[in-house]
Amino acid sequence: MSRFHYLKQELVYRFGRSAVTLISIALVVFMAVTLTAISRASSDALRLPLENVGADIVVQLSGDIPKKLEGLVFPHPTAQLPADAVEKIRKLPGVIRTTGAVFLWDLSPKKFQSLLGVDSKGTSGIPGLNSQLISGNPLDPETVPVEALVDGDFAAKNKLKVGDQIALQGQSYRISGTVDTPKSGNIMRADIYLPLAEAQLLASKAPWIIDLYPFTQTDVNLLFLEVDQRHLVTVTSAVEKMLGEKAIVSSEISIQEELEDLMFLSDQMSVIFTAVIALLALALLARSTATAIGERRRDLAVLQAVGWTRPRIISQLSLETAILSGVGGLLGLLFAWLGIALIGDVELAMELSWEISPSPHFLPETDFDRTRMLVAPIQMPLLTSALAWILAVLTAVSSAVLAGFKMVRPHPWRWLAED
Amino acid sequence: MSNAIQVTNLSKQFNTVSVLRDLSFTIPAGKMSAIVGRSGSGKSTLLSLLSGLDSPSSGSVTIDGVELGGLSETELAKVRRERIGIVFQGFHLIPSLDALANVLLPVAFEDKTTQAEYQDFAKQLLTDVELGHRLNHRPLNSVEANNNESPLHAH
Repeated sequence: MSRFHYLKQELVYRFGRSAVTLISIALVVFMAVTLTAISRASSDALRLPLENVGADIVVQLSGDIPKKLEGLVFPHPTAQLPADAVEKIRKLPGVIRTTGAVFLWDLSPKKFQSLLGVDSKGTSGIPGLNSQLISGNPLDPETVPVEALVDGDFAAKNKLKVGDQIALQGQSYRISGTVDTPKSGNIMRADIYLPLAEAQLLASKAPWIIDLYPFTQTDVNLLFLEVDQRHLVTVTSAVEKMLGEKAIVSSEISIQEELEDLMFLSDQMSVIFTAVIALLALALLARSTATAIGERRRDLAVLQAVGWTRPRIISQLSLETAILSGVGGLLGLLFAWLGIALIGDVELAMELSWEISPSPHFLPETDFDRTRMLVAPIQMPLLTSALAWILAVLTAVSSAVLAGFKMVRPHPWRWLAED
Repeated sequence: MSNAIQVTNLSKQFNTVSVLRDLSFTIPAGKMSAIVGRSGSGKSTLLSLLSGLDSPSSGSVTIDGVELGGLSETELAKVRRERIGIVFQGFHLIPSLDALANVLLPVAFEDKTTQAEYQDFAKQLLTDVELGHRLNHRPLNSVEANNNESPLHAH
């Protein structure tokens, strides 16, 4: 009869108590891991918009509302960017590349459509757009006559297909292909896409644009900047200073500022959740372990009576507890893994501000829903899982050791005489 | 003949109640002795002190020439394991273990060879007290509640 035989008999004989301890520890680990995973997935979901901005910095300038909303106009947050300012921005230290664009509304009493003229280079330009092609051919800025790409949803809604003609300010364009721009974070979303030069030409001839701005065929009203991350703050400040109060400079920084409170709350909740659950779980675990050992005080006194020393008794209790908590912890991790696999994703509905939305906010509400579902997969938090398991085992074993010291007195007669 | 047990000026007091007062006697080795007395006269208390399961308020207990009062906790456990056997008035067995394992509890931490040696010895002792047919019975299943006969007799 070895101590291991006794250990096995004890665990099997007191199956009910062993099972309760095992399940308690499993539940504790399961809850700690699952809730942490859900909490982290929520934080991840809130960070998703940051990943969809595309360019490091988007530069816009707030302008005036046209006297008449008819034909091609600039939306008021995308007024003409002064050419000299654009040139200065290009030369700012830390700016790697600039990509200009022209964003327009085409308004008529019965119809609204948005138009984006995109540069021939850069991820925010035609290459980025062509990478999201659903059907037809990519947009080639050299093709004559000039062709257009249309958004897939817009095409479906207006029953447009590749090869059809689309009219803009009396000019007709053949649709070369359709694109799925919502999938691309690098392109600002519009209904129709044209090469930049063509959009500049159209804007320079639009009556309600030239009524407000001295727009020429080389001007733009949107500027996408690729910036060395080390210069992000200085470039942002320089651009804001250069364009004055009406500047709208969107970057990771501005988005972070906007989401800061939300993310802070989410992160804070994550920490509080984990801490509260961990404390509660550990307290319960410590108590249940101590109670289980307390119930065995007569047995422990018998072991002392037959010559077991206190260190031997405590090592026996620790080994029993370590096995129970270890297996229970693993069971909890298995439950957590299954739970996380069953839950799948965290879905958060969030109203995006225009800076982080692929479409501007000033589109008619009937046509545009700025609510975006942020979906982040729940993943097994490996470090937390390992920590939860280790902490559960350590807490249980420490409680066993403490309870052992408390129960195993130098003179055990008291416990034996009581019975 | 040397003394197996020597008790000198032994006293035990629980709060204000004095159970044993200035008790002295010796029990020679190899001799069977019985302590008799009325219920509550302190027989169990005396046995708890003789077996080192409790400590006296004053006086000393010497077993085989070893004075229990001067021993450390570990040394006391060794004396209990190697020199003293006790039959409890109550029903003090480990319920998860069968009769044989209960008898072998004192050697649970010994090496395999020693354990094997003691296993045969324990079986023989249990057979001697007519429990040979209940070696693998657990206490609660095999021993009737009013039966004071327990495997610890064999120890």
